[in-house]
Amino acid sequence: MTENSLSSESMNESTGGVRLASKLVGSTDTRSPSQFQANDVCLQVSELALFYGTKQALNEINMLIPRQRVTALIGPSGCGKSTLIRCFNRMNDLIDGVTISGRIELNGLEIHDQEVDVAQLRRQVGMVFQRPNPFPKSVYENVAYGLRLAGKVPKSELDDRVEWGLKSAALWDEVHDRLHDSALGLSGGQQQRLVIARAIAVEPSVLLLDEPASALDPISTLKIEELIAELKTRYTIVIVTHNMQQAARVSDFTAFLYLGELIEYDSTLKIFTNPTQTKTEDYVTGRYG
Amino acid sequence: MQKHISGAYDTELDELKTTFTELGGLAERQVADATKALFSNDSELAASVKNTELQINLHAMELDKRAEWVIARRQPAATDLRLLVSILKSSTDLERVGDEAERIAKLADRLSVYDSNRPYHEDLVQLSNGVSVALRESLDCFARLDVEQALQTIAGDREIDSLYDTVVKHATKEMKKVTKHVTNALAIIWVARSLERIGDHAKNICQTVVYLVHGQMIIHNVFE
Repeated sequence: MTENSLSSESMNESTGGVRLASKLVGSTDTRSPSQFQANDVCLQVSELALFYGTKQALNEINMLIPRQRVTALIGPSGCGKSTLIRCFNRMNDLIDGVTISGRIELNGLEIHDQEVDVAQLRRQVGMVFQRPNPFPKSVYENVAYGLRLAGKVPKSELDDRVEWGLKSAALWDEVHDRLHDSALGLSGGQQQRLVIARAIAVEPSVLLLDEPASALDPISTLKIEELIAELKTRYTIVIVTHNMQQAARVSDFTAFLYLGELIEYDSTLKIFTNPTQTKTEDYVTGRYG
Repeated sequence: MQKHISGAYDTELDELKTTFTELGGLAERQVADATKALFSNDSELAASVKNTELQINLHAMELDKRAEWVIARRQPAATDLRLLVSILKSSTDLERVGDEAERIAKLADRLSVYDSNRPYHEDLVQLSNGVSVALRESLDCFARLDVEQALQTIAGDREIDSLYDTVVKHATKEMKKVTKHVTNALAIIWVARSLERIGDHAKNICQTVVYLVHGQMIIHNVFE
Protein backbone atom coordinates (compact mmCIF):
# COMPACT_ATOMS: atom_id res chain seq x y z
CA MET A 1 0.00 0.00 0.00
CA THR A 2 1.48 3.33 -0.96
CA GLU A 3 1.85 6.44 1.19
CA ASN A 4 -0.68 8.28 -0.94
CA SER A 5 -3.33 5.62 -0.83
CA LEU A 6 -2.97 5.46 2.94
CA SER A 7 -3.31 9.22 3.20
CA SER A 8 -6.42 9.53 1.12
CA GLU A 9 -7.99 6.55 2.82
CA SER A 10 -7.28 8.01 6.23
CA MET A 11 -8.51 11.44 5.28
CA ASN A 12 -11.70 10.05 3.81
CA GLU A 13 -12.33 8.26 7.04
CA SER A 14 -11.80 11.33 9.19
CA THR A 15 -13.90 13.59 6.99
CA GLY A 16 -16.86 11.28 6.59
CA GLY A 17 -16.01 10.32 3.02
CA VAL A 18 -15.39 13.84 1.72
CA ARG A 19 -12.37 13.91 -0.59
CA LEU A 20 -10.23 16.93 0.19
CA ALA A 21 -7.86 18.48 -2.30
CA SER A 22 -5.22 19.10 0.33
CA LYS A 23 -3.79 16.53 2.71
CA LEU A 24 -3.41 16.66 6.45
CA VAL A 25 0.05 18.07 7.05
CA GLY A 26 2.34 16.00 9.25
CA SER A 27 1.00 12.68 10.33
CA THR A 28 -0.73 11.06 7.37
CA ASP A 29 -1.57 7.62 8.68
CA THR A 30 -4.53 7.97 11.00
CA ARG A 31 -5.54 4.35 11.14
CA SER A 32 -5.91 2.60 14.44
CA PRO A 33 -3.21 -0.08 14.97
CA SER A 34 -6.01 -2.66 14.97
CA GLN A 35 -6.48 -1.84 11.29
CA PHE A 36 -2.92 -2.81 10.31
CA GLN A 37 -2.66 -5.56 7.72
CA ALA A 38 -0.17 -8.35 8.41
CA ASN A 39 2.30 -7.03 5.84
CA ASP A 40 2.17 -3.50 7.36
CA VAL A 41 3.77 -4.80 10.54
CA CYS A 42 7.53 -4.60 11.04
CA LEU A 43 7.81 -5.38 14.74
CA GLN A 44 5.27 -7.48 16.59
CA VAL A 45 5.51 -7.39 20.37
CA SER A 46 3.53 -10.09 22.20
CA GLU A 47 3.09 -10.39 25.95
CA LEU A 48 6.49 -8.85 26.56
CA ALA A 49 7.53 -8.67 30.22
CA LEU A 50 10.90 -7.56 31.53
CA PHE A 51 12.36 -7.70 35.04
CA TYR A 52 15.48 -5.99 36.38
CA GLY A 53 16.18 -8.55 39.09
CA THR A 54 12.87 -8.76 40.92
CA LYS A 55 11.63 -5.36 39.78
CA GLN A 56 9.21 -5.56 36.88
CA ALA A 57 9.88 -2.84 34.29
CA LEU A 58 7.55 -3.98 31.50
CA ASN A 59 4.26 -5.76 31.96
CA GLU A 60 2.56 -7.75 29.22
CA ILE A 61 3.22 -5.35 26.36
CA ASN A 62 1.41 -6.14 23.12
CA MET A 63 1.85 -3.87 20.14
CA LEU A 64 2.27 -3.87 16.38
CA ILE A 65 4.81 -1.41 15.03
CA PRO A 66 4.13 -0.58 11.39
CA ARG A 67 6.69 -0.56 8.64
CA GLN A 68 7.96 2.78 7.29
CA ARG A 69 6.11 4.79 9.88
CA VAL A 70 7.28 6.71 12.93
CA THR A 71 6.06 5.30 16.22
CA ALA A 72 6.63 7.40 19.33
CA LEU A 73 6.87 6.04 22.85
CA ILE A 74 5.86 8.59 25.47
CA GLY A 75 5.35 8.50 29.22
CA PRO A 76 6.78 9.85 32.45
CA SER A 77 10.31 8.98 33.59
CA GLY A 78 10.59 5.38 34.67
CA CYS A 79 7.53 4.23 32.69
CA GLY A 80 9.59 1.74 30.69
CA LYS A 81 9.78 3.44 27.30
CA SER A 82 13.59 3.31 27.06
CA THR A 83 13.56 -0.26 28.36
CA LEU A 84 11.03 -1.17 25.65
CA ILE A 85 12.96 0.44 22.81
CA ARG A 86 16.12 -1.33 23.98
CA CYS A 87 14.32 -4.66 23.73
CA PHE A 88 14.03 -4.19 19.97
CA ASN A 89 17.75 -4.70 19.36
CA ARG A 90 18.40 -6.72 22.51
CA MET A 91 20.41 -3.98 24.18
CA ASN A 92 19.00 -5.15 27.52
CA ASP A 93 20.94 -8.41 27.10
CA LEU A 94 23.99 -6.42 28.17
CA ILE A 95 22.51 -5.64 31.59
CA ASP A 96 23.03 -8.10 34.45
CA GLY A 97 19.97 -9.60 36.07
CA VAL A 98 17.54 -8.87 33.24
CA THR A 99 14.84 -11.45 32.54
CA ILE A 100 12.65 -11.17 29.49
CA SER A 101 9.58 -13.17 28.54
CA GLY A 102 7.20 -12.86 25.63
CA ARG A 103 7.96 -12.43 21.96
CA ILE A 104 9.33 -9.76 19.65
CA GLU A 105 9.16 -10.58 15.98
CA LEU A 106 11.09 -8.54 13.47
CA ASN A 107 9.61 -9.11 10.02
CA GLY A 108 8.13 -12.35 11.32
CA LEU A 109 11.32 -13.68 12.95
CA GLU A 110 11.59 -14.01 16.73
CA ILE A 111 14.62 -11.95 17.77
CA HIS A 112 15.33 -14.03 20.88
CA ASP A 113 15.75 -17.28 18.95
CA GLN A 114 19.07 -18.97 19.61
CA GLU A 115 20.16 -18.87 15.99
CA VAL A 116 19.78 -15.08 15.84
CA ASP A 117 23.16 -13.35 15.49
CA VAL A 118 22.85 -10.37 17.85
CA ALA A 119 25.48 -8.33 15.97
CA GLN A 120 23.50 -8.89 12.77
CA LEU A 121 20.26 -7.97 14.58
CA ARG A 122 21.80 -4.69 15.75
CA ARG A 123 22.84 -3.86 12.20
CA GLN A 124 19.26 -4.44 11.16
CA VAL A 125 17.91 -2.46 14.09
CA GLY A 126 20.12 0.62 14.45
CA MET A 127 20.06 2.80 17.52
CA VAL A 128 20.73 6.47 18.22
CA PHE A 129 21.01 7.74 21.79
CA GLN A 130 20.22 10.98 23.57
CA ARG A 131 23.82 12.25 23.61
CA PRO A 132 25.60 12.10 20.26
CA ASN A 133 28.30 9.45 20.56
CA PRO A 134 30.56 9.64 17.51
CA PHE A 135 33.77 7.62 17.68
CA PRO A 136 36.92 9.71 18.21
CA LYS A 137 37.72 9.22 14.55
CA SER A 138 37.21 11.17 11.35
CA VAL A 139 33.77 11.92 9.95
CA TYR A 140 34.47 9.42 7.15
CA GLU A 141 35.62 6.66 9.49
CA ASN A 142 32.57 7.05 11.68
CA VAL A 143 30.28 6.21 8.79
CA ALA A 144 32.61 3.60 7.29
CA TYR A 145 33.06 1.80 10.62
CA GLY A 146 29.90 -0.27 10.55
CA LEU A 147 30.40 -1.11 6.89
CA ARG A 148 33.92 -2.38 7.59
CA LEU A 149 32.60 -4.45 10.49
CA ALA A 150 30.04 -5.97 8.18
CA GLY A 151 32.77 -7.25 5.87
CA LYS A 152 35.40 -6.18 3.40
CA VAL A 153 34.12 -3.45 1.14
CA PRO A 154 36.18 -2.09 -1.82
CA LYS A 155 37.40 1.48 -1.27
CA SER A 156 35.36 2.98 -4.12
CA GLU A 157 32.18 1.33 -2.86
CA LEU A 158 32.99 2.46 0.68
CA ASP A 159 33.34 6.06 -0.55
CA ASP A 160 29.96 5.81 -2.24
CA ARG A 161 28.27 4.32 0.80
CA VAL A 162 29.76 6.97 3.14
CA GLU A 163 28.57 9.72 0.81
CA TRP A 164 25.13 8.11 0.55
CA GLY A 165 24.90 7.77 4.36
CA LEU A 166 25.89 11.39 4.92
CA LYS A 167 23.51 12.61 2.23
CA SER A 168 20.69 10.53 3.69
CA ALA A 169 21.37 12.06 7.09
CA ALA A 170 21.27 15.56 5.54
CA LEU A 171 24.87 16.17 6.59
CA TRP A 172 26.85 15.83 3.34
CA ASP A 173 26.63 19.51 2.35
CA GLU A 174 28.04 20.55 5.71
CA VAL A 175 30.93 18.07 5.93
CA HIS A 176 31.91 17.00 2.39
CA ASP A 177 35.03 19.19 2.48
CA ARG A 178 36.19 17.94 5.88
CA LEU A 179 35.51 14.24 5.75
CA HIS A 180 38.83 13.43 7.29
CA ASP A 181 38.61 15.91 10.16
CA SER A 182 37.74 14.59 13.61
CA ALA A 183 34.03 14.01 14.15
CA LEU A 184 34.41 15.50 17.61
CA GLY A 185 34.88 18.92 15.97
CA LEU A 186 31.29 18.91 14.67
CA SER A 187 28.47 20.69 16.50
CA GLY A 188 26.12 18.61 18.69
CA GLY A 189 23.41 18.62 16.03
CA GLN A 190 25.89 17.60 13.31
CA GLN A 191 27.30 14.86 15.55
CA GLN A 192 23.78 13.50 16.08
CA ARG A 193 23.15 13.44 12.32
CA LEU A 194 26.55 11.77 11.87
CA VAL A 195 25.48 9.06 14.31
CA ILE A 196 22.28 8.64 12.30
CA ALA A 197 24.39 8.43 9.11
CA ARG A 198 26.51 5.73 10.79
CA ALA A 199 23.38 3.78 11.73
CA ILE A 200 21.79 3.97 8.29
CA ALA A 201 25.01 3.32 6.31
CA VAL A 202 24.58 -0.39 7.05
CA GLU A 203 21.00 -0.15 5.72
CA PRO A 204 19.00 -1.27 8.74
CA SER A 205 15.30 -1.93 8.50
CA VAL A 206 14.53 -0.26 11.84
CA LEU A 207 15.95 2.87 13.40
CA LEU A 208 15.52 3.30 17.15
CA LEU A 209 15.88 6.86 18.41
CA ASP A 210 16.13 7.28 22.18
CA GLU A 211 15.46 10.98 22.81
CA PRO A 212 17.58 11.93 19.81
CA ALA A 213 17.06 15.68 20.10
CA SER A 214 16.80 16.29 23.83
CA ALA A 215 20.41 17.53 24.06
CA LEU A 216 20.10 19.77 21.00
CA ASP A 217 19.16 23.40 20.38
CA PRO A 218 15.85 24.18 18.55
CA ILE A 219 17.45 24.54 15.09
CA SER A 220 19.33 21.24 15.37
CA THR A 221 16.16 19.66 16.75
CA LEU A 222 14.24 20.89 13.72
CA LYS A 223 16.84 19.37 11.39
CA ILE A 224 16.62 16.02 13.19
CA GLU A 225 12.81 16.12 12.99
CA GLU A 226 12.94 16.90 9.27
CA LEU A 227 15.42 14.09 8.84
CA ILE A 228 13.05 11.69 10.63
CA ALA A 229 10.25 12.66 8.21
CA GLU A 230 12.62 11.97 5.32
CA LEU A 231 13.96 8.68 6.70
CA LYS A 232 10.57 7.15 7.40
CA THR A 233 10.03 6.68 3.69
CA ARG A 234 12.78 4.02 3.88
CA TYR A 235 12.93 2.85 7.49
CA THR A 236 10.68 1.90 10.34
CA ILE A 237 11.38 4.41 13.09
CA VAL A 238 10.68 4.09 16.79
CA ILE A 239 11.36 7.19 18.85
CA VAL A 240 11.36 7.72 22.59
CA THR A 241 10.73 11.33 23.48
CA HIS A 242 9.93 13.38 26.54
CA ASN A 243 8.86 16.22 24.31
CA MET A 244 5.19 15.59 23.59
CA GLN A 245 5.03 18.25 20.91
CA GLN A 246 7.88 16.46 19.17
CA ALA A 247 5.94 13.20 19.33
CA ALA A 248 2.92 15.02 17.88
CA ARG A 249 5.03 16.59 15.12
CA VAL A 250 7.07 13.62 13.94
CA SER A 251 5.15 10.44 14.64
CA ASP A 252 2.28 8.63 12.95
CA PHE A 253 1.52 6.45 15.97
CA THR A 254 2.00 7.06 19.65
CA ALA A 255 2.18 4.64 22.55
CA PHE A 256 1.69 5.93 26.08
CA LEU A 257 3.38 3.87 28.78
CA TYR A 258 2.88 4.20 32.50
CA LEU A 259 4.52 2.10 35.23
CA GLY A 260 5.64 -0.49 32.70
CA GLU A 261 2.22 -0.90 31.11
CA LEU A 262 1.08 0.10 27.67
CA ILE A 263 -1.89 2.28 28.56
CA GLU A 264 -2.90 3.38 25.08
CA TYR A 265 -1.52 2.95 21.57
CA ASP A 266 -3.19 4.67 18.65
CA SER A 267 -2.70 7.11 15.81
CA THR A 268 -0.87 10.22 17.00
CA LEU A 269 -3.84 12.28 15.84
CA LYS A 270 -6.14 10.32 18.16
CA ILE A 271 -3.75 10.35 21.13
CA PHE A 272 -3.27 14.12 20.99
CA THR A 273 -6.81 15.17 20.16
CA ASN A 274 -9.12 12.58 21.68
CA PRO A 275 -7.41 9.86 23.70
CA THR A 276 -9.57 7.07 25.07
CA GLN A 277 -7.89 6.51 28.43
CA THR A 278 -8.04 9.04 31.27
CA LYS A 279 -4.37 8.44 32.13
CA THR A 280 -3.35 9.32 28.57
CA GLU A 281 -5.58 12.39 28.64
CA ASP A 282 -4.06 13.53 31.92
CA TYR A 283 -0.53 12.99 30.64
CA VAL A 284 -0.88 14.73 27.26
CA THR A 285 -2.71 17.68 28.82
CA GLY A 286 -0.09 18.07 31.53
CA ARG A 287 -2.31 17.02 34.41
CA TYR A 288 -0.05 14.19 35.41
CA GLY A 289 3.57 14.62 36.51
CA MET B 1 -10.58 15.60 35.65
CA GLN B 2 -7.52 16.43 37.69
CA LYS B 3 -6.14 19.94 37.84
CA HIS B 4 -3.13 20.83 35.73
CA ILE B 5 0.22 20.71 37.42
CA SER B 6 0.49 24.34 36.38
CA GLY B 7 -2.22 26.21 38.27
CA ALA B 8 -1.71 29.18 35.95
CA TYR B 9 -2.75 27.03 32.98
CA ASP B 10 -6.03 26.13 34.71
CA THR B 11 -6.59 29.81 35.50
CA GLU B 12 -6.01 30.78 31.86
CA LEU B 13 -8.53 28.17 30.66
CA ASP B 14 -11.06 29.24 33.31
CA GLU B 15 -10.67 32.87 32.27
CA LEU B 16 -11.29 31.94 28.66
CA LYS B 17 -14.47 30.09 29.61
CA THR B 18 -15.62 33.11 31.62
CA THR B 19 -14.89 35.49 28.74
CA PHE B 20 -16.79 33.18 26.39
CA THR B 21 -19.77 33.08 28.77
CA GLU B 22 -19.75 36.89 28.95
CA LEU B 23 -19.71 37.09 25.15
CA GLY B 24 -22.64 34.65 25.05
CA GLY B 25 -24.54 36.79 27.55
CA LEU B 26 -23.97 39.91 25.44
CA ALA B 27 -25.14 38.18 22.26
CA GLU B 28 -28.23 36.84 24.02
CA ARG B 29 -29.13 40.30 25.32
CA GLN B 30 -28.64 41.81 21.87
CA VAL B 31 -31.10 39.36 20.32
CA ALA B 32 -33.64 39.98 23.09
CA ASP B 33 -33.30 43.78 22.78
CA ALA B 34 -33.44 43.75 18.98
CA THR B 35 -36.67 41.74 18.85
CA LYS B 36 -38.16 43.77 21.70
CA ALA B 37 -37.28 46.97 19.83
CA LEU B 38 -39.03 45.56 16.76
CA PHE B 39 -42.22 44.38 18.42
CA SER B 40 -42.60 47.44 20.68
CA ASN B 41 -41.56 50.02 18.06
CA ASP B 42 -38.83 51.21 20.43
CA SER B 43 -36.33 53.13 18.30
CA GLU B 44 -34.20 54.07 21.31
CA LEU B 45 -33.68 50.41 22.16
CA ALA B 46 -32.92 49.67 18.50
CA ALA B 47 -30.24 52.39 18.57
CA SER B 48 -28.70 50.93 21.71
CA VAL B 49 -28.48 47.50 20.00
CA LYS B 50 -26.55 49.11 17.14
CA ASN B 51 -24.20 50.79 19.60
CA THR B 52 -23.59 47.59 21.59
CA GLU B 53 -22.63 45.67 18.44
CA LEU B 54 -19.14 47.17 18.58
CA GLN B 55 -18.74 45.82 22.13
CA ILE B 56 -19.54 42.30 20.94
CA ASN B 57 -16.97 42.55 18.16
CA LEU B 58 -14.30 43.83 20.54
CA HIS B 59 -15.16 41.13 23.07
CA ALA B 60 -14.93 38.41 20.39
CA MET B 61 -11.58 39.77 19.19
CA GLU B 62 -10.25 39.83 22.73
CA LEU B 63 -11.40 36.25 23.28
CA ASP B 64 -9.68 35.09 20.08
CA LYS B 65 -6.48 36.90 21.06
CA ARG B 66 -6.44 35.26 24.50
CA ALA B 67 -7.14 31.83 23.04
CA GLU B 68 -4.27 32.28 20.55
CA TRP B 69 -2.00 33.25 23.39
CA VAL B 70 -2.88 30.14 25.41
CA ILE B 71 -2.26 27.97 22.33
CA ALA B 72 1.11 29.61 21.72
CA ARG B 73 2.24 29.27 25.33
CA ARG B 74 0.76 25.94 26.37
CA GLN B 75 0.50 23.84 23.19
CA PRO B 76 -2.74 22.30 24.45
CA ALA B 77 -3.73 18.72 23.69
CA ALA B 78 -6.83 16.52 23.96
CA THR B 79 -9.70 18.12 25.94
CA ASP B 80 -7.82 21.39 26.39
CA LEU B 81 -7.16 21.59 22.66
CA ARG B 82 -10.80 20.83 21.90
CA LEU B 83 -11.92 23.47 24.38
CA LEU B 84 -9.79 26.11 22.65
CA VAL B 85 -10.91 25.04 19.17
CA SER B 86 -14.53 25.09 20.40
CA ILE B 87 -14.20 28.54 21.93
CA LEU B 88 -12.65 29.91 18.73
CA LYS B 89 -15.37 28.34 16.56
CA SER B 90 -18.23 29.38 18.81
CA SER B 91 -16.95 32.91 19.36
CA THR B 92 -17.34 33.38 15.59
CA ASP B 93 -20.92 32.11 15.87
CA LEU B 94 -21.66 34.54 18.70
CA GLU B 95 -20.07 37.43 16.85
CA ARG B 96 -22.35 36.66 13.90
CA VAL B 97 -25.36 36.39 16.21
CA GLY B 98 -24.47 39.96 17.20
CA ASP B 99 -24.39 40.96 13.50
CA GLU B 100 -27.84 39.47 12.94
CA ALA B 101 -29.22 41.22 16.03
CA GLU B 102 -27.87 44.52 14.71
CA ARG B 103 -29.53 43.81 11.36
CA ILE B 104 -32.87 43.20 13.10
CA ALA B 105 -32.43 46.48 15.03
CA LYS B 106 -31.74 48.36 11.78
CA LEU B 107 -34.81 46.80 10.17
CA ALA B 108 -36.89 47.72 13.21
CA ASP B 109 -35.81 51.30 12.63
CA ARG B 110 -36.62 51.11 8.94
CA LEU B 111 -40.21 49.97 9.57
CA SER B 112 -42.36 53.03 10.03
CA VAL B 113 -44.34 51.08 12.57
CA TYR B 114 -44.57 47.38 13.43
CA ASP B 115 -48.15 46.26 13.14
CA SER B 116 -49.04 43.29 15.33
CA ASN B 117 -52.31 42.82 13.44
CA ARG B 118 -50.54 41.49 10.37
CA PRO B 119 -51.01 37.75 9.64
CA TYR B 120 -47.32 36.91 10.11
CA HIS B 121 -47.21 38.36 13.65
CA GLU B 122 -47.99 35.21 15.68
CA ASP B 123 -45.47 33.11 13.79
CA LEU B 124 -42.80 35.81 13.96
CA VAL B 125 -43.24 36.04 17.74
CA GLN B 126 -42.98 32.26 17.97
CA LEU B 127 -39.92 32.26 15.74
CA SER B 128 -38.30 34.93 17.86
CA ASN B 129 -39.06 33.04 21.11
CA GLY B 130 -37.86 29.74 19.64
CA VAL B 131 -34.58 31.30 18.51
CA SER B 132 -33.97 32.95 21.91
CA VAL B 133 -34.57 29.63 23.66
CA ALA B 134 -32.25 27.79 21.24
CA LEU B 135 -29.50 30.37 21.81
CA ARG B 136 -29.87 30.18 25.58
CA GLU B 137 -29.86 26.37 25.48
CA SER B 138 -26.75 26.31 23.30
CA LEU B 139 -24.86 28.51 25.77
CA ASP B 140 -26.08 26.41 28.72
CA CYS B 141 -24.97 23.25 26.92
CA PHE B 142 -21.55 24.75 26.36
CA ALA B 143 -21.19 25.73 30.01
CA ARG B 144 -22.45 22.37 31.32
CA LEU B 145 -21.00 20.18 28.53
CA ASP B 146 -24.51 18.79 28.16
CA VAL B 147 -24.52 16.69 24.97
CA GLU B 148 -28.05 15.38 25.48
CA GLN B 149 -29.53 18.87 25.55
CA ALA B 150 -27.28 19.89 22.64
CA LEU B 151 -28.75 17.09 20.50
CA GLN B 152 -32.28 18.13 21.44
CA THR B 153 -31.58 21.74 20.51
CA ILE B 154 -30.06 20.64 17.20
CA ALA B 155 -33.21 18.63 16.47
CA GLY B 156 -35.36 21.64 17.44
CA ASP B 157 -33.84 23.71 14.63
CA ARG B 158 -36.29 22.08 12.22
CA GLU B 159 -39.16 23.81 14.05
CA ILE B 160 -37.34 27.15 13.68
CA ASP B 161 -36.87 26.54 9.96
CA SER B 162 -40.52 25.70 9.53
CA LEU B 163 -41.66 28.85 11.39
CA TYR B 164 -39.35 30.88 9.16
CA ASP B 165 -40.99 29.36 6.07
CA THR B 166 -44.45 30.21 7.44
CA VAL B 167 -43.51 33.85 8.13
CA VAL B 168 -42.06 34.20 4.63
CA LYS B 169 -45.21 32.66 3.16
CA HIS B 170 -47.50 35.09 5.02
CA ALA B 171 -45.32 38.12 4.24
CA THR B 172 -45.14 37.19 0.55
CA LYS B 173 -48.91 36.82 0.40
CA GLU B 174 -49.24 40.23 2.06
CA MET B 175 -46.93 41.82 -0.54
CA LYS B 176 -48.95 40.34 -3.38
CA LYS B 177 -52.21 41.51 -1.85
CA VAL B 178 -51.48 45.04 -0.63
CA THR B 179 -48.84 47.03 -2.48
CA LYS B 180 -48.38 49.61 0.25
CA HIS B 181 -47.30 46.83 2.64
CA VAL B 182 -44.42 45.70 0.42
CA THR B 183 -41.72 47.62 2.29
CA ASN B 184 -42.79 46.38 5.69
CA ALA B 185 -43.38 42.83 4.54
CA LEU B 186 -39.94 42.77 2.90
CA ALA B 187 -38.36 44.01 6.12
CA ILE B 188 -40.21 41.27 8.04
CA ILE B 189 -38.80 38.65 5.67
CA TRP B 190 -35.30 39.98 6.41
CA VAL B 191 -35.98 39.93 10.16
CA ALA B 192 -37.18 36.33 9.90
CA ARG B 193 -34.10 35.48 7.87
CA SER B 194 -31.84 36.95 10.57
CA LEU B 195 -33.68 35.04 13.29
CA GLU B 196 -33.39 31.82 11.34
CA ARG B 197 -29.65 32.41 10.99
CA ILE B 198 -29.32 33.01 14.72
CA GLY B 199 -30.99 29.62 15.15
CA ASP B 200 -28.35 28.12 12.83
CA HIS B 201 -25.57 29.66 14.92
CA ALA B 202 -27.15 28.20 18.08
CA LYS B 203 -27.20 24.84 16.32
CA ASN B 204 -23.53 25.24 15.36
CA ILE B 205 -22.65 25.90 18.99
CA CYS B 206 -24.52 22.75 20.02
CA GLN B 207 -22.63 20.74 17.40
CA THR B 208 -19.42 22.19 18.78
CA VAL B 209 -20.44 21.01 22.27
CA VAL B 210 -20.69 17.44 20.92
CA TYR B 211 -17.20 17.83 19.44
CA LEU B 212 -15.89 19.30 22.67
CA VAL B 213 -17.18 16.39 24.74
CA HIS B 214 -16.74 13.44 22.36
CA GLY B 215 -14.10 14.67 19.92
CA GLN B 216 -16.46 13.91 17.02
CA MET B 217 -17.48 16.50 14.48
CA ILE B 218 -21.14 15.90 13.72
CA ILE B 219 -23.04 17.02 10.70
CA HIS B 220 -26.56 18.21 10.47
CA ASN B 221 -27.87 15.30 8.40
CA VAL B 222 -26.94 12.74 11.04
CA PHE B 223 -29.80 13.93 13.22
CA GLU B 224 -32.45 14.27 10.57
